[in-house]
Amino acid sequence: MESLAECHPDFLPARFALEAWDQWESPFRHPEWSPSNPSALPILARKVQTAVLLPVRDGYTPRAALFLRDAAGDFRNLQLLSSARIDITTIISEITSPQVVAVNARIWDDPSTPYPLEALDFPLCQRGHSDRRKYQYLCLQENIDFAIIDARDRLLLNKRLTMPPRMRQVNQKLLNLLIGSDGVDIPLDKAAGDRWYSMVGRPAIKAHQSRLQPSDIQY
Amino acid sequence: MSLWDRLKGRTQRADPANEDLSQEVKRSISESLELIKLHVAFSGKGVYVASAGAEGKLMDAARAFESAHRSYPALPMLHYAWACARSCGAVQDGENGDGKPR
Repeated sequence: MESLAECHPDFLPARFALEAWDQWESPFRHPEWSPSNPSALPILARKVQTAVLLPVRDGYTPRAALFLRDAAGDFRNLQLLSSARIDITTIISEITSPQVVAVNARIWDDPSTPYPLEALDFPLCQRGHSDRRKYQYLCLQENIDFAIIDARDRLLLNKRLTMPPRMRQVNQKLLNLLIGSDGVDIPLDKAAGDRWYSMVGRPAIKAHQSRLQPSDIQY
Repeated sequence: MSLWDRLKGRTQRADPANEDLSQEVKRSISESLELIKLHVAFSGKGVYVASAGAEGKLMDAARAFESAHRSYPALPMLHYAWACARSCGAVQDGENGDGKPR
């Protein structure tokens, strides 16, 4: 990895790996995911409670993919779902301490009431943290895989979405933040991490959501 | 122009998927990915890496990526895949230390 970074100093995945080598994880330890996956993998399904961005790999390329759990059975017409327009974008919140970032999407399976979803994270945390890493992947992608699984882990939708120009612009800004900002330390220990989330993380998310309604998001 | 292109310039595309890799290199990469699929297992509980270590199958996969990188040194993604495969195959899960080669 060091020789790669020396030969190609602008190649960001190597730089990202070396800046936090102790926490870095080989992408080959991420589950393989692409639009050709016919079913949800258990290791992914157990992490999907609502909407979440997860690190995966396609071949030897690490990527971030967006997953949604349809626990309530909102998507009944799969034919409509598969052909529905899906808007997607990244939002860098005005809430900066800690910096909240969201991937928002809107599924137009019902033209009168599109289904909104939001995956929220704190990617500007310590270098090497998995939450940071998946956004490093996201910001270097041209497209994103989006999958919906139902309450029984059945795959309802799995498609690759081209990132619209607006999302790419925001991702470029986020990439600059990921390169330049050390961010906040999120405790890695579970108990301390839970405390941090209830005292710092959740209030930040609530503040973000009170300022930006799903209907206000521009795609 | 993609983000990768803006970052790297068109002469150093990161993802060689659409590049003209030789059939031999494509086949070798495909076999390496199959080896990795066979020896990195995912379950609801987590990830388990088998056949690691210098003589393990994962190092065979890493050596194939190394060879691909040597054939296409201008493609950093192949170099990255080599480094990632080496790291993944360095130490079997359950052993002490991460053993990641730097």
